[in-house]
Amino acid sequence: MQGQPFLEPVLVVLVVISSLAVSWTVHETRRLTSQAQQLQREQDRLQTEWGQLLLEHSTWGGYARVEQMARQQLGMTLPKPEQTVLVNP
Amino acid sequence: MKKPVKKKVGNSSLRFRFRFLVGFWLVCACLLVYRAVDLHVLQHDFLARQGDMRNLRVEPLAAHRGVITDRDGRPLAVSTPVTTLWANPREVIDNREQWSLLQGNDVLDSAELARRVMPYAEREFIYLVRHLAPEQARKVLDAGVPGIYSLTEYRRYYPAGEVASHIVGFTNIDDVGQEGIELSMEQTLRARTGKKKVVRDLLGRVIQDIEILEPAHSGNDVRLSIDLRIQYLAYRELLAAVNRHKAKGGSVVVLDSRTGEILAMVNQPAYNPNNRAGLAPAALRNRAVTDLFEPGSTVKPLTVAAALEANMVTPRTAIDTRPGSIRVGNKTIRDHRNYGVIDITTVLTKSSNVGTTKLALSMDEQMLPALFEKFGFGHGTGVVFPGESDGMLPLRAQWRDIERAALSYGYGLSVTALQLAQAYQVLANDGVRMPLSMTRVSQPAPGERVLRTDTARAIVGMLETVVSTEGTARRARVNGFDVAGKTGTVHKLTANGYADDRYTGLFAGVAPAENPRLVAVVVIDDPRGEAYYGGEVAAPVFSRIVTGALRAMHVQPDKTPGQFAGGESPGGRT
Repeated sequence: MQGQPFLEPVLVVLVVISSLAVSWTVHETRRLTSQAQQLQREQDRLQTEWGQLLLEHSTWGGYARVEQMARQQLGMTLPKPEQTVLVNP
Repeated sequence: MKKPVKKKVGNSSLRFRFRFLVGFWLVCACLLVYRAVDLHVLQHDFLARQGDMRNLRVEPLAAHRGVITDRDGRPLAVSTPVTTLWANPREVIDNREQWSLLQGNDVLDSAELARRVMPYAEREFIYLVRHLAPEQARKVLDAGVPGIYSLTEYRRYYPAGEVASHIVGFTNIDDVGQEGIELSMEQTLRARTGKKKVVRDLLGRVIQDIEILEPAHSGNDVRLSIDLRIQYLAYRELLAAVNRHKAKGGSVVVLDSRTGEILAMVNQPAYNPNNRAGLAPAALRNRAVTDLFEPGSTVKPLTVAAALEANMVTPRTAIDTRPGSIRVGNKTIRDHRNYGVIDITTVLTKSSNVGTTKLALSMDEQMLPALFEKFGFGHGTGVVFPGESDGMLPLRAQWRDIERAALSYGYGLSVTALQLAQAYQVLANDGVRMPLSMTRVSQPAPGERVLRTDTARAIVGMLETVVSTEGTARRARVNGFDVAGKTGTVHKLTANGYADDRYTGLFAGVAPAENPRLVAVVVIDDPRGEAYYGGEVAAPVFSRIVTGALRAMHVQPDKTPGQFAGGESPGGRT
């Protein structure tokens, strides 16, 4: 102790700093956890929405529906063989 | 003198005060130490538990079942989160005065709540409403009746509905596969919900994640080999044909001949997996892999292949089918009419029973059954599918002539539509049998050689004549392509032997004939309309499906009556 007169105050300062750091980390942990929770909820919500959009997309874009609209509303037909033009690259 | 005395008295009084104080503080310190030991050691477990009970919670970690898609990623089965409402009846009944909060609620009315809860007054958990849309569940939860809680579950939706119903199958209300791929790939698709421990504050917010007790595993996605466009086409055409011919049922299987992938597999009757109320059990069967039929004339190309493979004949070898019938044992095998002396190719073109019978009787008796077995008859195809039938191929040490003859034109053995497609895949793929697959194949497994390349090519060439104007399957023709195939019309086997007026109409084919890409098998079961020949009921279905499928796969037409861009284009079209 005699040879290191500065050790004691230095240690005291370090202890104070580390205790401040502890409370800062705890605070930060809580803040980030709540943020993570929020993002998790957001992800769940988006996941739900994605699933619903996927279903909606495949309902509107179902082949049966597209074909029916093409034939009935737009009057589209398959081209006859003599109407086809083959494009060779 | 006074001073020292005074000092002495003072000293002893001081010493007493000093000792008293030291003693007092020591006692205090001991009490504190005791209390600390008491709290930290003796009562630690109890207190820690009490504390944890107040702010530690175990939360479920949600995980969803894997998505099933077709080969290009189009969704066939998707899980979306839904909310299940449950109640603790004791708690609900204790708070009877608050039920009026649900008065007139359109999801769960207070009267309905009473009706659900009262019979279970002793229980602590009952389901109120399962699988609600999250926003509907919100309406009930926001009313704030104590004892009503929510739970996140997943409901399975099948965007393709009936079109892929037999392949995909479905799950039950607890998200466990019951049929089809949902059942056979349950281990892959299944989700395992996890648990984690968290610290909550007074307001119920999670403030710290302590540990993950069980990690959540979402199910893995499954990418099938199915091409939804071809699947839809096959579904539509089969449905139309089954209705037109008043058939009892039907199946279509489309294979990629190079990789052995199943591109489409449909059956009639089908069902809607999204709404299974009033579902007939017969509609559940994936007939293409469960139902057996005798393949009839569709195996004649295999009989001819056996003869070519043994170098007994060439496609040009003449064979005498006069007088249009042949007596084997005590049975007479007949052709439609007397075809006279014809070559082997014409035996297939006209589907001559006499011709194949003569071929079969002139070869070694074990040769034909052995080859049929190599084509995959009598064995499971290796596709993971619940309820797959192995088919039936008799293997005997001794064959009677009539049995050998019957085998040559497809009676006395039974196959599934998938097995028949597999056999034609061998013909289409230059004699190499590829393992069939329900899932997308990126690196095809090495196949197994069944026929020589020249034999397989010769058979496909001969089968082109079946689809010509002279053949039995004119209606199987596809615009822009040469196709090859074989019809079959089989008497149905009933309890009283072969029925005279009940048939299975078949067509199995390969397209394009020059450089095959597709194999398709069409089965029309028990058509009760005017037409029942395979060439009339099944061949047109093949033609329509293959026309659409080849276009969808961007296969270039090898003969087109249309024009080529850059050439002469009358009418100003370029």
